[in-house]
Amino acid sequence: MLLQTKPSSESTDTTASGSRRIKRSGKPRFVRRGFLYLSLIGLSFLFALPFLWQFGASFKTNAEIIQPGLNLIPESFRLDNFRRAFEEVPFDLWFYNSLFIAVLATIGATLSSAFCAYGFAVLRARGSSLWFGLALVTIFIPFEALLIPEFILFSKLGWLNTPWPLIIPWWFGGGAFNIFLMRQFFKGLPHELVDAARIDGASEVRIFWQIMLPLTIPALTVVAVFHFIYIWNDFLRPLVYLQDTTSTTLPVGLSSFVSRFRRDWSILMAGSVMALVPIIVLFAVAQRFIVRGINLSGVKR
Amino acid sequence: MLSMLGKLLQGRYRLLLAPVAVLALVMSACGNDDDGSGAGDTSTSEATAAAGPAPTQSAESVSLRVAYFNGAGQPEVDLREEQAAAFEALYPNVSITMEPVADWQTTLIPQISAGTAPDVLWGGTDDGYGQFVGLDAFLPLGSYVEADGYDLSAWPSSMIQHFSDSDGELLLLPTSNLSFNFLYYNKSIFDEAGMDYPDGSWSIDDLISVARELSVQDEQWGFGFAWDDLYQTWMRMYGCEFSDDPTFATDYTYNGPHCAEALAELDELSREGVINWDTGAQWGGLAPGDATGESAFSAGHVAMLLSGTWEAPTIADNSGGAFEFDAAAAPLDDGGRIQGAASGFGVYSGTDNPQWAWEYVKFIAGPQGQEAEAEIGIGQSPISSILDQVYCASDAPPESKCEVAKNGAANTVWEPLNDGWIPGFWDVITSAVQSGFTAGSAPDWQALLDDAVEDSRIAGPLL
Amino acid sequence: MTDGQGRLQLRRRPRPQPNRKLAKREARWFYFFIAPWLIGFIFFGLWPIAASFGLAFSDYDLGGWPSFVGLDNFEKMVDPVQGPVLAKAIRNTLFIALTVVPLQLALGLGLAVLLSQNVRGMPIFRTAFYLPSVVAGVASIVVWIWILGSDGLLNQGLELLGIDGPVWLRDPATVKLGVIIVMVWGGTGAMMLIFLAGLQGLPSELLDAAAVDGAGPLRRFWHVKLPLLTPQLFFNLVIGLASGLGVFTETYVISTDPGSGAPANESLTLVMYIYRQLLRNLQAGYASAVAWVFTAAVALLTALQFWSSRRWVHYEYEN
Repeated sequence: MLLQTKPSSESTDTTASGSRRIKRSGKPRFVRRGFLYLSLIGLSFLFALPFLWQFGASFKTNAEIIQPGLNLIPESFRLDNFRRAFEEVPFDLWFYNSLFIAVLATIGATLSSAFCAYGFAVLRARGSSLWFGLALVTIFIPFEALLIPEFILFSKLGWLNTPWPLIIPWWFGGGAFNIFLMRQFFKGLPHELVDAARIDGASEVRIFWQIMLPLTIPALTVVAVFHFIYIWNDFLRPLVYLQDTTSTTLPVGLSSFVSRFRRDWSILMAGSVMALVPIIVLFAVAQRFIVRGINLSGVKR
Repeated sequence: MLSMLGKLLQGRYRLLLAPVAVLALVMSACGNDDDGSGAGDTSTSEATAAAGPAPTQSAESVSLRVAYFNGAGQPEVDLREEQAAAFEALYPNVSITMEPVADWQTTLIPQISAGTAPDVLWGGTDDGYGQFVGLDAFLPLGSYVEADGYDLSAWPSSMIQHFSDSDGELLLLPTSNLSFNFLYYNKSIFDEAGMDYPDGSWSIDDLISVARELSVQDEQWGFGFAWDDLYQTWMRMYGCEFSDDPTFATDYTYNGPHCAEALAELDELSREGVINWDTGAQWGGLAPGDATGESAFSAGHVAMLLSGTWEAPTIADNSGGAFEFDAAAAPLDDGGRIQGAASGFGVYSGTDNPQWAWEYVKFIAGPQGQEAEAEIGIGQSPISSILDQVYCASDAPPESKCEVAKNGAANTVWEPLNDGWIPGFWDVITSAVQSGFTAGSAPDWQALLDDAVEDSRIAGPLL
Repeated sequence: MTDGQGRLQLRRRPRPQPNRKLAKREARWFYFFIAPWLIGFIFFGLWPIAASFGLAFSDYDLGGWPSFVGLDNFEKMVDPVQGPVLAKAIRNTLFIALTVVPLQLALGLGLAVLLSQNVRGMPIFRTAFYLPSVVAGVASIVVWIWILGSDGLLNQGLELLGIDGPVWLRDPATVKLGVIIVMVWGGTGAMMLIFLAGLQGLPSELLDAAAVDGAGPLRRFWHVKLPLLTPQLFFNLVIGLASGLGVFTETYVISTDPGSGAPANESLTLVMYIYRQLLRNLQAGYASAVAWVFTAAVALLTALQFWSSRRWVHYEYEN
């Protein structure tokens, strides 16, 4: 499932400096590496534990789930819960809705935030920090404070019960969070690149698209992954804007298994595990781009 | 491609071009605003509807949105869809969209304040009914009931009164009365101790003494609450009154006779390890691996659990048949009452089609609709004949559900209907009681409640 | 570029000021690039923000029309009933944010550095560290109570050490610690990813140069890598603090009924308080007033961070 790291040019460097380290610290290399792997394995187990438990629980009966204790491994790997998720609820429909919203919102947010961030990071203008400050302030306003006015706005646009309130705004700037993130990365690139390109007569659009953007692929990937997961897991907005069962998303749909009158843990666990699949696939694919970013950013100074 | 764009953008108006292009995109994405949703222009359409033709004669096409509380999951969704299809078959000009709601306040309060709520609204005493009344979300149904000569005599009058506004006009047609008087008991624990099962005749003192007897320190609890707010039902069992009037409250009285006594005793019992509950347990004491509520009862650690009829299937499922259980009616208070949650359907005050919405309310909340609900085992119908013939006749657990439900139907009181009630009562008493129960040692409950009532009067003045 | 002892010399390299004509051209391009955001802000942001600001000075129960009440809502924040509750919410929020953010930053940076050492199976580790951020939504209630419940995993672990653990989320003394554990666990992965992307973008020539100069691993980290990572560090700090102070979901998910702040308001955070005033108590005017005070405070804090960043954040670009 997960991709192997390709040996990069860095690896030889690390080994070279590693051999020097032996002399300095006096500790053999395999002890250091052993310690490193041990702590990585321990920590990653700790971090992955909630997911591992959830994965195990997706095969359990309700009676099995409510037992306290570690119980990572179910008594049997029965697929009943997964079958029920398709038979008893429109899981496939919710999945499609979630995917539709998350994909479109992510494409919009990633492209749009990179575009705006280039302006904020690279181009100088009077008042630019004022605009940036304003953009930042908008992410500090609690969602609740804007809930009612935003709802009224989207209802006037006729967007209720459609995915548009969850998609279109992201195409306009992609949110100040993402702009800020991209801005930080653009600012980390050597400005000689831009200056040289300008002297060569390249337009700003061209500099952005052909020179700067390829250099921020790791950052773009991070933005895309974050945003996809943020949208995929978002609960409040779909809850508020999508009233119809057929137009709702996975988190809202799955939440109906657990209410005052009903606690169907097993179907919730199975549904949640299946809901994780696209995120894990995305992350596995995205890792390659993060890694590839190393090779691309061999910028000569 | 890029260079073309670059050239295009080199003109004088290049800075204007991009916004215009984007604007066009927004406009096209907006589609047309008019056929969007719900109540567009309320004032004009209401006028036509009031004078409009009787539903059966009309051929104009109508679309209705119906919001309902989805408590029972897919069986309820299926039932609601079937009902909608049946209505559409009866009136081909009507098309209905059913909207299940889980988080009542977050979902509907924005819609109500934007004027776009569904035409038919579910309302429940424990789920923001008071708030919705405060928002004038429900259309008074008096004139519709009168015009149709609709017969309300099948409903208990106390319930009709509870769901009427201060002018006595009906706001909701009640469909369900969920009394919190199901005292579930674990037969194995009683058998082992050689004790008699609860039989519905117990007083609160009987309950406490049996619970004490069945408790084993840190292993087994005599009694438990399914969720934390049931301390309020407990207070009522002692005869505590929360307000001066159960329907139209004008003042908070939860520091009155027996209130502090009830909490002090509850505090003592939970410190002793007789009562299994927590001030932080969720509805239904839900979490797995958790040691309170339904989980603890289903795991066989609790002899008796206070809850409602809906808990039985979950207990049956989660206990995995490890023990047998049944339910008996919980002790009533001095005045012979028990707390409960009632719910029903009403018409949204901002609807374009009040006449059709009322038709639909009658269709799903009237006797016929309630029968269908009872058949799939959702809630207790307030109409006694349906309770008898459908609810009691089904073989769903628990065995004694019929007598418990009837006991509940005869004696339930509900939360007062007042929009000051939530900030005044819930906001204040919840944290006050929690601070008392989590204090290191037993607090002065009377003083604590006196302070809380003072705060209530400021935080949520009543009518 | 290094000073001969492996220490990176990060001098600000101010860009030459262009002439007036070029500056004007650049400014126009600036507006061209930020146009999407600006249009979006005007279309989707301006009205809700203005409306909510207006509500802060109004009495509005979400039905009918708001009425202007001047500063009443701000006075209410210090009245004898709301004052103590709000103060508690502020204390809880500060305690949570100021504990969580340093932990997330340190842990996120530590993990990123570990992973950047050309580790075999790196994708697997990276995925594992990021998983908690992904396991969200309703399902996470179950997972967290399984970990923090009375018989939960954490308490079973503590029992092995002979410690009788509390019911983390039910005990007023520990509920905030429970929230902190949930937040650190769930939020570290995202910070790690940002650091990692930053670390992988570092020019390897610089690191090589430092290594050739004979700097040890710690020294190279402190004097070369960390300064180059300050843009990412700064981002994580600003966003971490803002989202830590705005914590809602974590407390919402583990609390009894939404927005109650149980037990005894000990898990009540500021944003939850706003939610409670808005959707439970229907006091939209008051909720907006609190929200704007909150926004102003966070904005001020962020401005301070930006101001101080001139001293410690190293960008290639200095505008």
